Amino acid sequence: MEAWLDTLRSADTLGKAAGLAVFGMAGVFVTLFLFYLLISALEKLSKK
Amino acid sequence: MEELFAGFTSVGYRQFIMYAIGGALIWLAVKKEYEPMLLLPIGFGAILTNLPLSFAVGTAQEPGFLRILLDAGIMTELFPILIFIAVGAMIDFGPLFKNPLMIFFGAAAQLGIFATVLLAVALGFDLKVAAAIGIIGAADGPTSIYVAKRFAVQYLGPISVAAYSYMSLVPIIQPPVIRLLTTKKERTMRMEYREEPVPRLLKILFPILVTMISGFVAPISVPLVGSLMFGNLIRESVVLERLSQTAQNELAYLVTLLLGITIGSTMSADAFLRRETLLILGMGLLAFVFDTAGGVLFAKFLNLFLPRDRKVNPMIGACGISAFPMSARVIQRMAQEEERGNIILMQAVGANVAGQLGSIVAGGMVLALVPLLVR
Repeated sequence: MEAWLDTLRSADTLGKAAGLAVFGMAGVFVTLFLFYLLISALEKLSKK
Repeated sequence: MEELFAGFTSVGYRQFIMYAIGGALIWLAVKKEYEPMLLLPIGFGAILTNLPLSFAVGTAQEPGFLRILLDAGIMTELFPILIFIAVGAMIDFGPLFKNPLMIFFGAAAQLGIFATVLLAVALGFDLKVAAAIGIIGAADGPTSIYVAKRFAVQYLGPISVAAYSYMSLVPIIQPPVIRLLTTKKERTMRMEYREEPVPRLLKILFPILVTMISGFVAPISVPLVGSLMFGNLIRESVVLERLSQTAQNELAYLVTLLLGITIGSTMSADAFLRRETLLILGMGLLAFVFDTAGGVLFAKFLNLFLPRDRKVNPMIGACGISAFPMSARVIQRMAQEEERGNIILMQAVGANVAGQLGSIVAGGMVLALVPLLVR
């Protein structure tokens, strides 16, 4: 992860923006996937 | 004698252009009813700021009421946070709980943010400013203001105006993009909806645990997520009905009023009448287009893997933007126009509230990642 960030830091602005886009979209998807799992788990829990 | 006529001699044609822009925003609010609660105060604030000698703004030594509001409400990030508490109290996550799959459209429709960042960088903006411009694609006024204040305070006016204007123009922006990317057959797809009560435990634990997860994934997003979820917890706890109503009404109206006029105060002719403002307004529009395309295309992609009876009407993907409930209403109206009796409103609302989550998470990601990249 740190190596990825170092590579991006040394890239030009467009490269950094591309890195932001990839990490940003991935971060949003992963976080909302965690929320999806949370909803599923809470639903099961509340039905017990 | 000259001082007596200072009111006439201290303005130029640029101020008159700003009066026209302020007037146009008020006209959009009054005549067209486009986001009137915001566009009207913004428009009037723009006029106030550009009046001769701008006593409403004042100077650093002798601040006027608009500067005081700016320092107290925007620079401290207080107004966006209070708005989030109010919005949280208004949101019912029920439709999302009944169809959790909709949450992924709240992620896909954030594509506009990051696509616009790339575009802004390509047009010569530095990464921080590009990120602030891209966040217009969150379709979420408070998040736009929050990020713009951190990364590009000099463009706070145009970014806020773009965010709120395009939110009100969702009924005009989204339908052509959706029609371009979908077939008639796809637009007439029906979706089953089961009306089941949502367990109270789920409604109460969700805001608490979402805040905690966000705190671990992107700690910098906690003020945004936390305030939204605090408002939602007040609503869902049921025992704080008066507080919930206060947050949804008095708090929301009061802060919106102050926020609008304060944003208007950043629209001085010198700050607003620049080539960059036109670029920001143009890119903001594209951000909404990319958002819509991202959501629709993701829905079509998801349909490749879903069983026949669980396929999603791709128009639902467009509701993954945060413009709530405008986007859901637009999609339902389109579904009705395509085929009478096709009701997909609740699924659309589910995706739309997911968009609210997605936009603040995306805002948090931008706030967390940009400083790491430009260090």
